[in-house]
Amino acid sequence: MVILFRLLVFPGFLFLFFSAMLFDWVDRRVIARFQERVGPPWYQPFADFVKLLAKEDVLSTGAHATAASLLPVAALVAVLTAALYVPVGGIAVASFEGDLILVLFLLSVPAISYFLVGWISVGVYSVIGGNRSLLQYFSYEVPFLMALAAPAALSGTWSIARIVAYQGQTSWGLLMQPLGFILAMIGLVGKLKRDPLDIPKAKSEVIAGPLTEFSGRKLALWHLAMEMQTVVGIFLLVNLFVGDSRFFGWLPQLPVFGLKALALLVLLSMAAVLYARLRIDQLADLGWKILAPLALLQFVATLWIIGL
Amino acid sequence: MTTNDERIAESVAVALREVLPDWEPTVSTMPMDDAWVSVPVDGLIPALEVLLGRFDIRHLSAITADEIDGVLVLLYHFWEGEGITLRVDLQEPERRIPTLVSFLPGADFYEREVFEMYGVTFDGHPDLRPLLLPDDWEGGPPMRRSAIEETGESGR
Amino acid sequence: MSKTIVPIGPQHPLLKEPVAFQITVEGEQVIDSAMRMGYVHRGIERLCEERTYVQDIHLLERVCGICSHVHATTYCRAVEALIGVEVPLRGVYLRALLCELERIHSHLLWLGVLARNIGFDTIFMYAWRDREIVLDIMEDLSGGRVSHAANVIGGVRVDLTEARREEILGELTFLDGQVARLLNVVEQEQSLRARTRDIGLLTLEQVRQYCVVGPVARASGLDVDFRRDSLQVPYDRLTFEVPVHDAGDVWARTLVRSQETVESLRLCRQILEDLPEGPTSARVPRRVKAGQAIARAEAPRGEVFYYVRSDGSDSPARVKVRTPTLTSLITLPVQLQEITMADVSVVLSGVDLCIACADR
Repeated sequence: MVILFRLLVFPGFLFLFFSAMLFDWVDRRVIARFQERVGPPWYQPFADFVKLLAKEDVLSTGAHATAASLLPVAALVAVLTAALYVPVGGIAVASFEGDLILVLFLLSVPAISYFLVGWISVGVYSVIGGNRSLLQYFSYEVPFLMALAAPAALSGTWSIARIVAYQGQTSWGLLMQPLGFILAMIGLVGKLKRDPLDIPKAKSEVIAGPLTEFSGRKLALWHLAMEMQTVVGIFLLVNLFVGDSRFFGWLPQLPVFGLKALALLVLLSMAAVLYARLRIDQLADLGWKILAPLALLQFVATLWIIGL
Repeated sequence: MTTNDERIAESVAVALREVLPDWEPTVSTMPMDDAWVSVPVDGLIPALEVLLGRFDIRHLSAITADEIDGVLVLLYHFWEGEGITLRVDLQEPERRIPTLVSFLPGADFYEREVFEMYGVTFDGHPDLRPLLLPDDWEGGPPMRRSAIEETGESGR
Repeated sequence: MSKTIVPIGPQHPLLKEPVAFQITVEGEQVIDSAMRMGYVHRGIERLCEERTYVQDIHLLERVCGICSHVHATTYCRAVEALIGVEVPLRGVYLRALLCELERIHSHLLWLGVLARNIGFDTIFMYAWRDREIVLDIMEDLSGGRVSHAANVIGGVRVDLTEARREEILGELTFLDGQVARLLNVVEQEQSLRARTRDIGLLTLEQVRQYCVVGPVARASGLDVDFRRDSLQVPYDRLTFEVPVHDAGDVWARTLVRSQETVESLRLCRQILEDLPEGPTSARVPRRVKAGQAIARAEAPRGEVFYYVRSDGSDSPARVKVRTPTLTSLITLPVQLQEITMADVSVVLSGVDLCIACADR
């Protein structure tokens, strides 16, 4: 029963679904306030989701029907599976020694399906968007992985729960590895294809990228997968970098965790407000010439500190 | 301004008399301070060379096609601190004139528009296609008086 | 890598108006481009011949949805030259006031579109918010936000009370502050600069060859401005700078347009402060004498050209309109060379496309 409850309600599917909707709303609302707009009401993400579900599901001639149906499901399933191993306020559905590696792997699956859906598409915008998403993947993934490996190396474990526990004994990962936190945030922006790194789906260039030819239920699934990926990604970073709740010791863990997650979300929203979209070659330059060396430096420094 | 315009127009006319000895260019001033010089069809290129080379007048504002008293007239409106317009009366029924594109690439769209709207052929134009009309346009050049009278259409 | 043809238009999120580009790309690299226009060709020049002089004012105002007033003004000036009527000074000043407000509105709109197309929604929102102030002033002045119908042959039909003049001056002061803050952000912003530098390059020589006008020409170092060069009233009595930059890229065009916005604000203030007393329009005879007239003016996008021929009847025998966008469109094949797919949106935004103008 407990397992079933955890799987389906908390911190499983339903919790993730409502978090995704909440995060989407907060994100849009924060961006709107920064841009002197009002922003949507709280039920807007639900309305969008329901509307998309109700819409006609059009498949363009020549598209691969099976792949088009399977790829959004694959992305969603991967994100949901990853969520099982990411603790929320100390509660995870499952965990084992090395679950961080599994989560990182699973979080790469949506990027791969995103690329594949562009690659098999017949639309020229989707093909270009798919190629861009692959290039983007190679640019952000290396610094992102190295930035997340650093806390693991520091605490000497690949288990997310133990990394959180290690921070409880020492201090926040954010304070010990501020550079790593910044790199991980930039990597997360790239992974989630949010502004200003929404290069694969840049509206003025490739319309909606790989998702240009999607509609109805499949598009709803894609959006849900993306929004849940945002939630899981933020939860992961909260665990790795601000996992400890000692400062708020008298408060229950869960609301504190939620607040931390929302704080990270606002950081992401501010990045969207403050910067123009990069060109794909500029992102590749940024990824390989600046972020990757910095991540390496940070990793080596961490290893050196451990060696002391 | 007016005096300056006339000076340039006069100098252009003098220069044209040298290049085209058997043509007597007429010079007049229009409202809004534009000087007009009338040149023959085969005098357009020499006149342009005078404008470009001797006076460095290079800004072609527009090419207007107009049917004045039944004669199709092309007006080349130049500007360089002052307006100067070359008036060319086309000969019927050829309606041909050399292109300016090799001297001024900016004349490209103006010439294409005159071509589609008035049926004037610009000799030597590299890409004389309609500019604005749809691909399946049928019927003659729509701005020509004759075309308007044939269809009998009136927007009024 | 194989060549792909990417269609941009006639319907595309990048374009606000229908025009079609066929961009041939190899990977992300653009290697060729072709353009097809005419999707909003309304035959306005022909329609003008079928309507009376007065009706044509309102028809020609619809050539462009952004710089509508300058079209009507230029046409009226040509007709007034044919009739030989002098517009009272107050009418001339009010015309110029609307022209300058329109320039501010057009440049702010352009800045928003550019920002939107490079994924910088914040600047888009701020620019369009500030543009609302201009639109409100214009609506108050003429009754219309975009189409003002302020012109009559012989002057303008709108007037300002003393109280309203003071109010508008106050609103302009507020707008000054807003625009200064916005343009400061634009000029400092690194990511905006990174996207627009060295994109859509046009040399001075190319600009002269292609007869380019307006901000695009001024961003390539060509010092032209018809307000100044043709010594039009009232610009000969006002002091303003003509910003010129040499780089010839989209960034230079951004700077030119930003500085022009500031200059236009200055001009609006001077016009309102010096606004002469008197009637706003002159009585004109009913007949337009036979003859030809040419009028030019500096629209937000550059020189707009009108040729009007009268044969003595109620309607003009010929009206020729040359809009500034047409000159920029000719240069697009040059600008679309040696760039990547992502820069196409920057190039197309940079020239400030107004397709309805170009198609007429």
